[in-house]
Amino acid sequence: MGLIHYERGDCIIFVKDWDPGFAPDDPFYIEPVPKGTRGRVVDVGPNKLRLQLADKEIWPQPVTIWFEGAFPDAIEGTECIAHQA
Amino acid sequence: MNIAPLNFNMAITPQAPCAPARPATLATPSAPSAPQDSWSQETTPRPDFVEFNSLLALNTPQASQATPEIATSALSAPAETPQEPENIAQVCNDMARSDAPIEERVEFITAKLAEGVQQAESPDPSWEKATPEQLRLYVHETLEHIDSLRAIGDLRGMDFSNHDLEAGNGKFEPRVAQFLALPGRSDSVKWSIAEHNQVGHHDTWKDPQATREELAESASDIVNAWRMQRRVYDKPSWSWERITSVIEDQFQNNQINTAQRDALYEAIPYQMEYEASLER
Repeated sequence: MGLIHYERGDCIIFVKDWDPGFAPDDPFYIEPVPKGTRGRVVDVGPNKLRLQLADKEIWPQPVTIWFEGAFPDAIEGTECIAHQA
Repeated sequence: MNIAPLNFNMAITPQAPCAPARPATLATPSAPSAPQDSWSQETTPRPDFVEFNSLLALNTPQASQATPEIATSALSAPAETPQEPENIAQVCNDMARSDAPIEERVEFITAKLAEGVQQAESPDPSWEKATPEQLRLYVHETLEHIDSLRAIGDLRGMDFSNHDLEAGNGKFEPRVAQFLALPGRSDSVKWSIAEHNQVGHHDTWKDPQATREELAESASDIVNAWRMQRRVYDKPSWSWERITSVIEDQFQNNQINTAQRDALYEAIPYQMEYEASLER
């Protein structure tokens, strides 16, 4: 089992583009997150990581970074983020 | 550490769904109208039509192509009203509901919709409309979804046969399709989504008082869309594990209410049953 790398309050930056995967006409739609977007960890769980992204106009609610397996075996979102230097 | 994979994590291959038999009355798309070119190219009125045309003061394609016998009988009959412009959305919807194979419906609807899209008014003339190829992809995907919803409605003992074919704001309304068939989520796509979202099932989904039963169509709509390969948007189908995780996460973070969560969970076994029926 790997380590959980993130803690609540950590500042992160997207090092790759990330698309939450909803179709644009989905009522759950979340805008894709481009590389360079900054945010802060608001919740860490055994299988999720929630981030409040800096631009609250585009992402008013925290965004959950998804994995199809459990954290920290990142398949999707977590491989796109890193701690801010 | 991994979550134990759910046992129902089955792959789905997009294919033409087995729609149940539908009433034959629905299988009658409007007959193709005569090409307008044949009318516009006729520059010299035929002598036997001069009197007819002047009497009726009509200059319609039907009049120019009518046989003299028809023209004579028209003189003694009450004047016919000019032909209404073709309602492209209605023609497409009729074809969508027909029993024709999906490829045949795709061809027909794509051609009709491409015509309609050319004429459709746009709120911003600078917005680029979907190309016929993009429309084809959109029509194919929309038909797969409509067929699925109708079959799932049957499994649930509910009528979802009007899903996305609603008059005025359905997905084959040229005004809606002209931008909704585009990939991405530009201003024009957002405008189309807002137009389409005026249909009943979207309003119901947003109603905080709606019951689980009232949310059934929307819930099946959402779950089916997650399981589909969304080619227009280049989105792959979702695993069941991902679907259940999204539902739980949305609920825990107060982004959906209890009725919405329960309606989504309730939609899952019907979607599974439907997918299993495709594999048989």
